[in-house]
Amino acid sequence: METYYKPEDLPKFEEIGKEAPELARKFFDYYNAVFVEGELTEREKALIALAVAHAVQCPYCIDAYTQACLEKGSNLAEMTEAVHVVTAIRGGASLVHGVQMRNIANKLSM
Amino acid sequence: MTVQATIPNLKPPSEEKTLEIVPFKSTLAKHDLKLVRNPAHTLQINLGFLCNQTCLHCHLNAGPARKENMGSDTVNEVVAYAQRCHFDTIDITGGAPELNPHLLDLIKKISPLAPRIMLRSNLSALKDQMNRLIEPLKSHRVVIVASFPSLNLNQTDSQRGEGIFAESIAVLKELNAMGYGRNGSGLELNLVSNPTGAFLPPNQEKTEKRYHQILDQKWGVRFNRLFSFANVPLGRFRQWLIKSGNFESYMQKLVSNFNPCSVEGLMCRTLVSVSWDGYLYDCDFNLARGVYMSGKKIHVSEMPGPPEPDTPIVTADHCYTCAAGLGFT
Repeated sequence: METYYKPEDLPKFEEIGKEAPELARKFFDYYNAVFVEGELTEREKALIALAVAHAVQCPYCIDAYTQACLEKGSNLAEMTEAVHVVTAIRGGASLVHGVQMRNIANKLSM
Repeated sequence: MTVQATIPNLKPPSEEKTLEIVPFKSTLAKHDLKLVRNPAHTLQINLGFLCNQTCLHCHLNAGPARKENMGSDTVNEVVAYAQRCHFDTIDITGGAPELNPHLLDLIKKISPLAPRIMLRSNLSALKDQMNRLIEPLKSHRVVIVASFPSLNLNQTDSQRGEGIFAESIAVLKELNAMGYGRNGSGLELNLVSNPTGAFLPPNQEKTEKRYHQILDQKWGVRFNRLFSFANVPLGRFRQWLIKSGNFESYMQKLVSNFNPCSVEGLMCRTLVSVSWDGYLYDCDFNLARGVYMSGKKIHVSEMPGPPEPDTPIVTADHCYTCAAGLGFT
């Protein structure tokens, strides 16, 4: 296997249902329902998905939601800002744990 | 002004000929569909391939070096044809029709012949000719259909050439100031948005709503309708798809998005396209490909009237563009 991630594997996602079809059906029904326009537009949902795809570092999701964002009418500037939002949260999540570090250090220190 | 978008030197051209696409005709047959003519209500006049821009998505390869431009004799033959046919809409396109010296003569002659006259403009060519054209366009109530691919400067300029986004906004403001796009003025200003790459366009209705909101908020620009069209894999766009390594996936995307429900409303059923040299085609894309109407080379001067209903329309792989998603009008 020359690489773990192959673009041609993305359309095979539904094959995951072969061994557990009922669970797959429930998952894909839910998945598809999530992305239907509701209080958020399909365009906004695709931008959120793109940002989260970067946080979970899923190449399949990045590929799929980059295309989805473009096809829902988002532009590269908006998509880049969305990635920065998730980066800020991800970085902030690390940094805010510095409070734990400080609490422990303060307790141990004179 | 001449503006050039550049084709980036990406991957080497792929072997286009190795790509096997199910013929459009077979896909129609599979769905028990036939693509034949209905009564024609629109005459599209392509004044030529001369353009001040070299947009990457252009299916005609239009640009400043192109010499094909409709002459006055052909203009008169087209006008005579419009007189014989009583079309509802006459749609003038190019290239940049503003660069044809006979444009005003054509508008003056065809205005009494159809209730709706449309002029497709890339805006930058209109800007250069504004003083000469704007009053006649207003007085003949010509609908302006302006290219405006994206609300984003970089996307627009990468497709259409550097500086085009800012220039387009300036021209739209100028048109608004002259009444175009303003409620109650009777001067219609519509926008056309094309994807700025190898992807399909967003939902037209939602995009129109967003464009209204953002163009008004950011630049105070008003317009009437927005049309969202997919890019047709012909001409410069086809070259770009091949050079950028996107041709195969784009064609597959078009094929997999085939919508049988779109076929009934395809524009080619009700449109006659006439090229700069007066020959007839089923649509501007068949014109780009050199496929004559019903497969026969007929000059507009020899055409007695509108094409007969039920005449088959010539198809090719680019027809998947119009039948993808919600279709092409």
